[in-house]
Amino acid sequence: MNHLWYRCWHWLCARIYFERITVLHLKRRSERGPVLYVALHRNGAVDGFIYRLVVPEGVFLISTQLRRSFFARLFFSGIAIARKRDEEDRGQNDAALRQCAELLASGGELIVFPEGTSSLGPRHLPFKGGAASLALDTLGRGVSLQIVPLGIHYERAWAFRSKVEVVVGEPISTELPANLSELSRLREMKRRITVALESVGTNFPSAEVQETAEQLAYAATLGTPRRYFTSLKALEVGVPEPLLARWNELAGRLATRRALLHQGVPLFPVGTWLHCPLLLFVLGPVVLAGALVNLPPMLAGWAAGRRFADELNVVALWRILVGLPLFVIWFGVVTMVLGLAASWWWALGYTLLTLVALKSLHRVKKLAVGVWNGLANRSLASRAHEFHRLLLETLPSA
Amino acid sequence: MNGFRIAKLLPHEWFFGAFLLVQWVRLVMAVGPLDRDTLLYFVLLWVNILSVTWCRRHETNLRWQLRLWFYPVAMNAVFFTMNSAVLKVTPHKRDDVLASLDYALFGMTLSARMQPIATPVLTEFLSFCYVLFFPYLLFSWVYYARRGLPLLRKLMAGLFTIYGLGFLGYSLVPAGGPYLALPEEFTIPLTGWAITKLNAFVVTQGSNGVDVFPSMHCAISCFLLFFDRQHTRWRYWLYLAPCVGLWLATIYLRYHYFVDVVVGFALAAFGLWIANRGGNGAAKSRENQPATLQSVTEL
Repeated sequence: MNHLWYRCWHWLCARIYFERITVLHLKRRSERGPVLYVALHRNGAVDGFIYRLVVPEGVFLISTQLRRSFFARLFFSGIAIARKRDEEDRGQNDAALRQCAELLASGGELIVFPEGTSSLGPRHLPFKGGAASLALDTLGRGVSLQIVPLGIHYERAWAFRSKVEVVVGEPISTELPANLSELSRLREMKRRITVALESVGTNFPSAEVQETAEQLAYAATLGTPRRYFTSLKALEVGVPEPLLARWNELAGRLATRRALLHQGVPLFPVGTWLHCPLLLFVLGPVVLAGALVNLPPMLAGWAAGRRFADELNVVALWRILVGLPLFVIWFGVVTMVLGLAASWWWALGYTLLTLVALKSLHRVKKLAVGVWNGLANRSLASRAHEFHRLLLETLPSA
Repeated sequence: MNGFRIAKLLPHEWFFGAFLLVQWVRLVMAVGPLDRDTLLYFVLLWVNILSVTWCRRHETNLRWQLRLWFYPVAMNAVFFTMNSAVLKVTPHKRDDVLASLDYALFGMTLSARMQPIATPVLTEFLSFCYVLFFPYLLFSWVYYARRGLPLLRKLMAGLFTIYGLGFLGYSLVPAGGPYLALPEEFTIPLTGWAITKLNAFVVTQGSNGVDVFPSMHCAISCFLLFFDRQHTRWRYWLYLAPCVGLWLATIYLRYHYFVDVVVGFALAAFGLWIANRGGNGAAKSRENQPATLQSVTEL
């Protein structure tokens, strides 16, 4: 029952907050346990909601601070372990690790975040040795364990209705030379985990390079089936000089105009674009109406993100923690009131309006940016399209 | 240009969608948002948007098929409820306007002009041609569905562009046709045998009473015939004579005015142009890169 609750709840969290969740190489995920998933940690506990969709039967190794209160327990489940920074009693950690080992020995799936905490920074945080140690311990018991790396890439980690990509990496080899000492085996396993996680993640020399790469990777997905991660990974070694020069030139021109950006990118409609204002005219009022009828939970979520989040990587988490339960209550109350006081047709209308507004928000934002830029900055459109062509020629398509 | 693209739809999705939207707005203004017909158009409009969006998110053969086959379903839902939906927004039939062109050109309706050549054999033959429209349409769908997605997409793009515009014509200029609106013009009854009776029964039961301008029988059959000419020459030769008979039948059997037929042919030409120009446009960028999609799963 517990498991079903978390599956449904995490599904709701991920589905409502994010516009699209895509998995690259899902087939690499093992159909049968035991599997130890080592996962990159970017966006606070929100990562867990998304990984849950990819590995539905997985059990998370989580911090004890996520199990402190009843409210937190509504959202988070897993084997709790106290980290050094948690300032909690670490006496139960051995029992928790035993539980992990037993789970794997019985053919279960365990999801571990080797960084220990999350960061949206340009590089991954140092990987701790716990996952490697747990893997060796399980292998030492004669269990045929698979270790699979998971990466996660947000187009805009904190933004409501943005897109996410999860990358399933190649399984890590568990064959180790027999003549290695215990310490060397641990080092080798940790090295392999590091290499695997770096293959499903991206690392940039600085936050500025990361920001540019994220903008360009998003631009590369526009109007093409290209994957965000593929482009981001290609830019890991640096943005090619000609591309960067053109981007900076375009950015310079945009700075002098009142051009709008979507996720850091100036959108311009393509070809005969009469349909864009028409579509905006149809969808815009629907989104506005949907936002208005759900204003209280939306405002509460937005305020929580501003008030409680001390870093960007927990903005989405706070919005979900506060906004989602309020939305569920609000939705239930409004539906009941409309159904009983007016007509169930009104309740159905409210439900449809909410769903359509939710599904259309991302598109409406893009349309609004595109239409504005198309009207106010038409002279820049050809430069932007030219740049986009160059970008697609420069970056690999697969 | 592919860059910074915001939306890419097939042409018929614009035209049929525009018809649904226009008719829905007119119904909202005429009878309010909760009327049965208004709700039908609202639902069709959103199912249309959702089916397209769902397909665009992750293109698979199944999603494309659903996206394309939504239109025959929507077309039938619209056609058979059109009488009430159209008369709510355009309360009076406009046979007088359509007939006035016939009067100007021929002194009477063209159907009345053809009375002297009416014989039971000709009536039976032309009724056969007229009733062939339905199997022709049905077999064309099945045939081109089996020829693969790109060709089916092209067929649907042209066909439902015609339906979208044609239905808009029904909605703006509702009319019953000479045999219903001007029976006093005809002094010689059309008699025949089994097929004549079958055709009369199909038309009486199947017509929605406002389906005259433009002649969709002419528009669709002409489109299909020239589509066949491009893609399956034997079908073109097979259907050529029945189609010509069908076009004559629209006037001879007193179902249409001359202007309906002319606009029907114009629509067919436009549909063909649209199909050849943009029938597969929405799929191009994705089809070029199938390898990139193989490893991608949307949750």
